[in-house]
Amino acid sequence: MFSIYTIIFTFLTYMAVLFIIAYSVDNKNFLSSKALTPYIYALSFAIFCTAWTYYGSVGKAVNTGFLFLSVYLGPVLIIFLWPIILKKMIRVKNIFKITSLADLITVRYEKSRLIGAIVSMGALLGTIPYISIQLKALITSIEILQDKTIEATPFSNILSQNVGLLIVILMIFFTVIFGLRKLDPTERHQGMMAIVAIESLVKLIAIIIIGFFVVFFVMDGLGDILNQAQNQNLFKPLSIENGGSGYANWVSVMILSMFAIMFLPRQFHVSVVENTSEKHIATVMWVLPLYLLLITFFTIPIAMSGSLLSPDSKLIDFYVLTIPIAQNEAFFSMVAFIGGFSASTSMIMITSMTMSIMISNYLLLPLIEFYKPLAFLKKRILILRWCIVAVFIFFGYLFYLFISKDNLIVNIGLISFTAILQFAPIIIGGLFWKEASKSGALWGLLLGFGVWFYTLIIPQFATIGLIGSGIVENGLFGLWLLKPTSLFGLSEFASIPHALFWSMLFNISAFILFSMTNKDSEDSRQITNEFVDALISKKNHNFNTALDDTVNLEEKCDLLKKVLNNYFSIEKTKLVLTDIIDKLEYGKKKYINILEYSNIYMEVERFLTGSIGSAGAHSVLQSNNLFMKHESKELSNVYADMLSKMKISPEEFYEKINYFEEKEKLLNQHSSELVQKVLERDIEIEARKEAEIEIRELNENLEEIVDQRTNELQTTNVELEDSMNELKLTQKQLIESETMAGLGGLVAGVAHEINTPVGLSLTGITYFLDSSKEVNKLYDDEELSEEEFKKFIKDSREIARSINVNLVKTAELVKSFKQVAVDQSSENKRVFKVLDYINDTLLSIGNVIKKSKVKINISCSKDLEINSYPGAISQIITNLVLNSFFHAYEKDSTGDINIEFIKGDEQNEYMLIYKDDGKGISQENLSRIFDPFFTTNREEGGSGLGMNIIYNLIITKLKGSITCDSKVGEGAKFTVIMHL
Amino acid sequence: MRHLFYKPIFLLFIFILFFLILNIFILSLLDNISVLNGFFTMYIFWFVLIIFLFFISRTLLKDELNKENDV
Repeated sequence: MFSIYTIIFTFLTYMAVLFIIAYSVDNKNFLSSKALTPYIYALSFAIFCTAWTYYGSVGKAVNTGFLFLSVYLGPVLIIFLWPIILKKMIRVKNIFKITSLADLITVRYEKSRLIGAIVSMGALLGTIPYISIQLKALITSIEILQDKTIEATPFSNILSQNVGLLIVILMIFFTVIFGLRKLDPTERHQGMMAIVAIESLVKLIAIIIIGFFVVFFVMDGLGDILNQAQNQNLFKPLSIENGGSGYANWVSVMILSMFAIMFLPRQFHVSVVENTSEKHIATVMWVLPLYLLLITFFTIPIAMSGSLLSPDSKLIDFYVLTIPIAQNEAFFSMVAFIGGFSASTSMIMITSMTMSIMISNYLLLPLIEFYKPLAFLKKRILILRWCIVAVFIFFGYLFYLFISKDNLIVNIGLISFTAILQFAPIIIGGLFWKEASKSGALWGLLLGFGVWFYTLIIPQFATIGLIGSGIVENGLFGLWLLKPTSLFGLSEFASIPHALFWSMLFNISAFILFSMTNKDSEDSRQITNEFVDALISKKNHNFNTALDDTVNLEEKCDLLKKVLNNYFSIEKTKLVLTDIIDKLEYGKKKYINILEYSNIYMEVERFLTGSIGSAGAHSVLQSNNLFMKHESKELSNVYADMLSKMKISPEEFYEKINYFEEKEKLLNQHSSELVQKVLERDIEIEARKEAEIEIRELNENLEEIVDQRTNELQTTNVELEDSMNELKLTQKQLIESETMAGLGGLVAGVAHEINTPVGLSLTGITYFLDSSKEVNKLYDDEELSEEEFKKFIKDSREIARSINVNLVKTAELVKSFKQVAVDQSSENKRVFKVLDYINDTLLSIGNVIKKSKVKINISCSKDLEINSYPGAISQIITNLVLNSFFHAYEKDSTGDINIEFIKGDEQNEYMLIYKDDGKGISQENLSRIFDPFFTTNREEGGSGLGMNIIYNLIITKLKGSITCDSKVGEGAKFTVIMHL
Repeated sequence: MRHLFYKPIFLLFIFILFFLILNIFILSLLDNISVLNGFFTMYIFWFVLIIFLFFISRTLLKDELNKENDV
């Protein structure tokens, strides 16, 4: 359809465009937006979809139906675990500056160069077949696309005959200029990642265009294709694939692809080494599965269309290309070609680049260091890697020529996947199992790769005649149990499940058994912890140990320069060391302490790891004696000192680490429990809410009952109120009775006091009447003498004076009684003299006082006048005195009552202190004497209201207070404070 | 539900769950239904996985951004 010139021109133009894009990205001119970075990262994962996906899956779908989908569903499922596995690998990569899969494994397992070499060799064996199928796809697609009818020129003939070699040379060239222009692989290849992402989009768009073209333009839609395929038995169900072992194949391929998408060297490179942020994993988690869905969606329709249109075709792998060509559609043919081309080139470039790093670091550098005549190559690592790329791709081409050419693309791909799977146990084990040891990893890899080689590669060699077929037909040494295709008699499985089963069985068993029996050294313990606990956040510890600056920085830099100069130019070395010293802020120092030097040493080792691998860097620095003996000793002492300051031995130190790890686990567990409790609390709150609703409903029912009860209570309250009013009325009547009783006493007192003067006045007037009658008779009889008359006048004057005195006294008494009685019955306030009023009050109860032998003493200023309620004060004194007479003293007993009325400390404050020396009041009664109706003398007529009346008068009328102090046998003292 | 996505054991559970659903339920279904139905069954299942993964990834991304803000 196209001439070889057109195809080569298209090829070169496409690569030139990609180079310009890569160059622009590297110089931050293009696709440098931060928003695009996660999508570029996610699309770079689609490097998983190589020519195998683009072309090979169609061939696989023709032969095995749905089986090819397991290659893509496996990765989609394992993505659920990427927040754990991939994130941990990225974090470990950042800690140890890891640049390849071999680095990851060797760093974990005591930086063993042997393990690094095995891993590199295994990856080499596993990826060469893979490279071969990419080359096969490229070369075959060019051959298919080339129009053989066009008249050939000598040059075009040469090109056509050597198209394979031409592709190899171009791929070597592009790999070098895209990925290996610089040596330091720790610098990420942003440009290369950008073109990988663009190529991923190109192949996706291409396959979708071809899919639409085939399904809707060539055929009559999806339903038509699939129904026709089913009717003509073109679609192979899983159950009949390979004699019924389709399900085993499905699961095997799924497991293989799960780990291939993480541990294929190119996948590890794009997913781990090229990662710039852990949060980009989140974008990959949904973009990649969506991409895989879209790129495979038209695989079955295209495969079935190809089978329907050209059932006898031998190019079933290339239906994507052959259908548009058969339809004579130049545009769609070129689109299909460019898509396939994109799928192959990025894979070849990234794989070659990563393999060149691994091979140079773990296979060639140890050889160069061991064989001194090759030491000059140390400074030519970059050129060495170019050569490795060339040899690697060329070997892939040879593999294509001798093995892949006549095999289905997918079958070769699965052989590679099975090889890569051998890394899975030691990587997963290394990331999550602290007991995983170097010995276990070494034996696991050796046995795993051994079984893989024996069960998958040996039969391939026999097929192409590289070895005799006897070993395959009869087994090693003629033992049927050792037949490569049915090892130990397991003949039910196809080659891939068979190899997977045995290689994993040997690999995992050896890994676990040797890890458990051979422990790693204590030195590697820290690295193990860094790996296993990579996702646990840690705080930086700063040991401020006071150390002398004894290390000459310049001298040490010279030593380090010499080591680095073996691998880098003088300028680069100088730049690297300056960067490290600036980063550590030692630039202004001439001398540094041993710990600071140790920090520089570790930084240099990390840098060197990026270039020659972790094991190589470790070995190179150790062999150059960068620490003098006394420096090593000092460093040891510093660490020992740190431990001794912590007062622990190294063993205890590890124990403490374990303790804190355990503690952290417990805290995490505790945190989980708290979360659980919060959940339980939420449930409890829910339950309470429900209970509240129930209570509310009950309340609504209760309202009626409450209303009823309320009515009853209201009725009762009314009744109680009536009773209360009656009681109050009764109390009022009782108080009035008490007042009237007081007034009765007053009347008795009045009668008693005025009895004498009135009696004397009456006697006097009677005597005067008799005398005047007698004088009158004598006068009438004219017998009245002068002397008798003078005597009458004298007696009359005496009698009149006596009567006058007694009547005046009576009048005064009546006046006093009248005032007291008025005061007691009225509530008026007036000014009065206190002493006189107390005397008048006592006079009013004189009839009682005079019957007793108790003496009353008054202490009060004669001139003290107050403006108050005299009735209240009179009633207080009267009740107090009568109480004393009735309760404090026995009949005929003597005693003293003291009444003191004085001015208080505050303005308008007055105090009445009443004290008797009677029987006193018991403590039990003391607290109750002011209670209404409390009396100890009810049988003799006590009402129990006297003290209560006093209390109420003082509190309400006089705005004062009253206290009583008394002990039995010591009398009682009442203190009244009034605020007038 | 969101806090479960941070727990490795939950992610492992989801992985095993979908692995079993695919390999036991859907796979056995494929041979008993038409190719067209099988084709759509497979891709619908795949689409469900993508929705789950999208949901989990958004949650994890929010968490990462929160951590960055905390810093």
